[in-house]
Amino acid sequence: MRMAPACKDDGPTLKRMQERARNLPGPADDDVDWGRIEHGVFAALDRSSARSWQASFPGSVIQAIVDWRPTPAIAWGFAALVVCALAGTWFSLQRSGGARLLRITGNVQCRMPKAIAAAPGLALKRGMTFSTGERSLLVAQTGPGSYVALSPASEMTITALSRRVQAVALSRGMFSAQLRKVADRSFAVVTANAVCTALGTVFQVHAGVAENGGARTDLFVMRGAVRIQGRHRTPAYRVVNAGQAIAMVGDSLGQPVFQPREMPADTSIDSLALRGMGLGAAENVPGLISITSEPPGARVRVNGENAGAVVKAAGDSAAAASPPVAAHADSAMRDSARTRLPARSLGWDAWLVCGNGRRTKGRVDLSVLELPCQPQDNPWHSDELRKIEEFISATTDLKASHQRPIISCAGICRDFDTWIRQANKRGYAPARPLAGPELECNALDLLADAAACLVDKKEGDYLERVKQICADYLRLKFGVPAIPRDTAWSLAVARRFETPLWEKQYLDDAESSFKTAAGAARPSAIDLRGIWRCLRGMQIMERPLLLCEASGLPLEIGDDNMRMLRTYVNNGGFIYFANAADYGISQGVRNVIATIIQERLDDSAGTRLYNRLSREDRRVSGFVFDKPQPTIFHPWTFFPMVLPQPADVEITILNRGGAVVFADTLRHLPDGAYVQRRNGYRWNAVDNFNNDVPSGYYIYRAEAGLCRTTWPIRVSLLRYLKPGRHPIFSAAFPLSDIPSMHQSQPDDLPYMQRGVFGASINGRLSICYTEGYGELLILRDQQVKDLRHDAILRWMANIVVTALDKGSLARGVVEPAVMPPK
Amino acid sequence: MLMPAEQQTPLAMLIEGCIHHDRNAQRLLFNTYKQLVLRCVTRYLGPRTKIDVEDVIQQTYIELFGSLPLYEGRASFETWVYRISSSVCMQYLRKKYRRRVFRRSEIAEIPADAAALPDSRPDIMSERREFGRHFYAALDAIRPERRMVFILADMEERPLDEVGIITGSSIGTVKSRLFRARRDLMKRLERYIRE
Repeated sequence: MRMAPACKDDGPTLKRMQERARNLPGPADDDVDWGRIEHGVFAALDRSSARSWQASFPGSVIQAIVDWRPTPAIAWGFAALVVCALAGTWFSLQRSGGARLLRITGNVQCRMPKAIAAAPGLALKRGMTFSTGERSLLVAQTGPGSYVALSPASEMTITALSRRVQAVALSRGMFSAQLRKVADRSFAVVTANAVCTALGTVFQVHAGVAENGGARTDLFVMRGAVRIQGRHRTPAYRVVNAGQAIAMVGDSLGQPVFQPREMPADTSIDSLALRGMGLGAAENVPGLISITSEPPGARVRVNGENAGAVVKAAGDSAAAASPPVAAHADSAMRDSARTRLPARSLGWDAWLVCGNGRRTKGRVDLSVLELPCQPQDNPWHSDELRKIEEFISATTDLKASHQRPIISCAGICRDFDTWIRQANKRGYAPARPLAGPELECNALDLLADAAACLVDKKEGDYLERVKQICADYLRLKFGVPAIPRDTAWSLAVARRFETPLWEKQYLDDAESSFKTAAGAARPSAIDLRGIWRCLRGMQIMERPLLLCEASGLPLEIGDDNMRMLRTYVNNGGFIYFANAADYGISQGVRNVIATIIQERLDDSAGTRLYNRLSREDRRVSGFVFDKPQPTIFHPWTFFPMVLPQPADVEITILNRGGAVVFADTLRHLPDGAYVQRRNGYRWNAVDNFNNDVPSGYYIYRAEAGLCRTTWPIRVSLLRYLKPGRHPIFSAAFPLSDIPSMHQSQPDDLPYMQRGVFGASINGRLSICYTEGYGELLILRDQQVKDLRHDAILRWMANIVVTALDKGSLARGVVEPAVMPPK
Repeated sequence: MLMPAEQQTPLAMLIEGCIHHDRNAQRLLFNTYKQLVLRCVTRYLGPRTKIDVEDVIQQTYIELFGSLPLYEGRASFETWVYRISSSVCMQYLRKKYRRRVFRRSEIAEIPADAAALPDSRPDIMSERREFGRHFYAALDAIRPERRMVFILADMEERPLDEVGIITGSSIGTVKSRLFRARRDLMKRLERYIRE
């Protein structure tokens, strides 16, 4: 029984719309956590249906749930009765509230002012303390979509819980952390040694059995985008790739974790083994170096960025540190090459911390500690050390040459394979020393080779090869013997490497359009659909587009073409304007850039995405971190703030991808209003290495105590980019390699030198313009066709080159650019 | 009203087991209808965060199990499940009126087993994503009762008399609402579709 369409003319359109609506992909079963739903449903059914409590053996959990609402006196009398009747058992009372316990396994004790036990459904209140037994687990929902998992033998105290800002404290022995709600589904974990926070980050605290048997090992595992900071929130290590895991091993000998400043002067080397978490404990380096025992055989390796740690250590304990240490450290600070310090033997089991995140300038960060062993006594150990040394060397080289963050963490013990097995057993996937960056590079090379199949239209072969490569990669990286080949991940990888196929098709479309345009008798006969498809495809694949005009960029571009360019850029496309002549910035480039950018300026929707939380925080704690002035700026902006009390203020600038660009901590800032430019905090649009950051949107985050405020800011649009490194083709294509047949005179150029100018939209470089290179001359020169081709390949290996020689973009009107007066 | 045990169908036995808190029966019922509930909830709520969808599904099941004693068997059980799902979705939207949150990854996600060609062409996928965004935005803008009728009749392809039972309306009302829903949608999507 179907109805007639809404209107007579709409019949086909309606049918088309219905068809497309039906074809919208439905939800996948894996998208929903059915286990959680099932658990919630049945827990609710239990709560609603249970009318009695039942006893069990001591140590087990009793579901004593009342579905009536007694007066408090009756309720607690009931509770006392239960406790008297069955000592050592647990019971629960259902409470209402937003935050609640979701799941309890085993023996979980809850200490709170007016109740004594925990059970699913229990409302979380401030002041509650939960402790789990050796084989117990607890999962609590602290807000919509936010969960806290408490691992065995752990303790969690709820210190704050509100609608917007939820915080709990978690402690186990001397290990303590504060969990802070950041957004709907993320938490910040603040410990004495580490802070990790990011949207979507999942963290777990585990207890296990250490290698030395019986002792407890605390592993702090985080997945997702994680930033770990030092004790005073000094950035020390960062993981930017989702899915990566870090294992921080602390308390490995079952001893309390000492804070560096609490460490006695005569601390033995054994107690330093407790600092094995290393990554976040960079500030412990002074204590480490001041150790008096220096048996031969051990080495401390530093690089230029963390050499300051050693120098500081030598200064702090001049009597203990040998002079060569300080001397080498000094040289290391000046020299970015790695420096090998005099041998030290530490006399305890080997451990290794390999952290290669970006270092904050002047911060202490010990990169590699390498140990102690007697190679002649333990040939295996020597061999492993050699492998690790190669691994570290390769990592350093790769980092230097590719600017690629390489992150790995490995521990050495007497039997490395045993350690790996134990870690695997605990559910971790430790990166092995041999499964480092080389493996990834090899896999990438193999994938690039496999993608060549696509050009020959052999999709089946291609998919099979990609699956095999992915399986091999995972097997080598994680040491897992059998990995299923048909995984979503391998298909995703395959899709990513399909790009060349689509690229070729789109370019064919564009080329046919160009040919049509060139041969068209009149402008109306020009068909630009191929170019549109090409633009759209390149935009989707995030491939840049090079525009070369035979006669230079025109002063005006037609409306149609302007619309096309604007859409392309605003949707994430990249345009490179190659300037052929030696005169200054073409007026046409200015016009295009200004027109495109102005629309973005007007469109400010979404820029206050993060403000709701900040207002709530402001009310909670009384701190005010106001909007930066100016929001769109160059070369500096300042951050107004009001502190009701002296506090440490942490300022972080993140880019659109969530990566930390700049971080600083203002220690013990006195209370007061810092709202004037002369006394406010300024940011000069530089990162922590004092390099200018590229134009684009950034997120300014200020944090003091429990207050956190986030504002969007934007670095100015068009700026002169420093010579020497191209922002896109950075390492592989330095500017000096840009081919040029005709070198311009510096006097002709506005900045007196050749340069690259860029404009960023949405935090990414979208428009690029070079001046003074004369590259179009070589691209246009028909006499040197081979050279031209070679130049394009050399310079823009991964860039789509579309030469619009016939002016098909500027349909109809192509005016030559006007030379400005010299 | 349930029948004696010897005359009961498997579904009736299942329902009776659920009413008597038989966990196995509850689990079986849960697993049997979870795809239907998921589809209905996600269609009605549109692309939302995973947690919202999960919460609504969970609430749907809680309502479903709680209301099982009231099931009289006049309509098919599937229709009854549809009705409960739609009621919970309406309650959710009424209680916490939230605009749909469009996230690129949640619309037209590529299935893991999709063939490499030709549907995985970036432009086709992008177009589908774009249509999903426009379509759900338009769907969100029309009246809830019309939206429900459109989803059930045109997207889920349920017969109109069953739609009437699910929505608790007469067939004439259903037809009228469907007509208006189509008209409203066409009006809002006209420009996009014609382009």
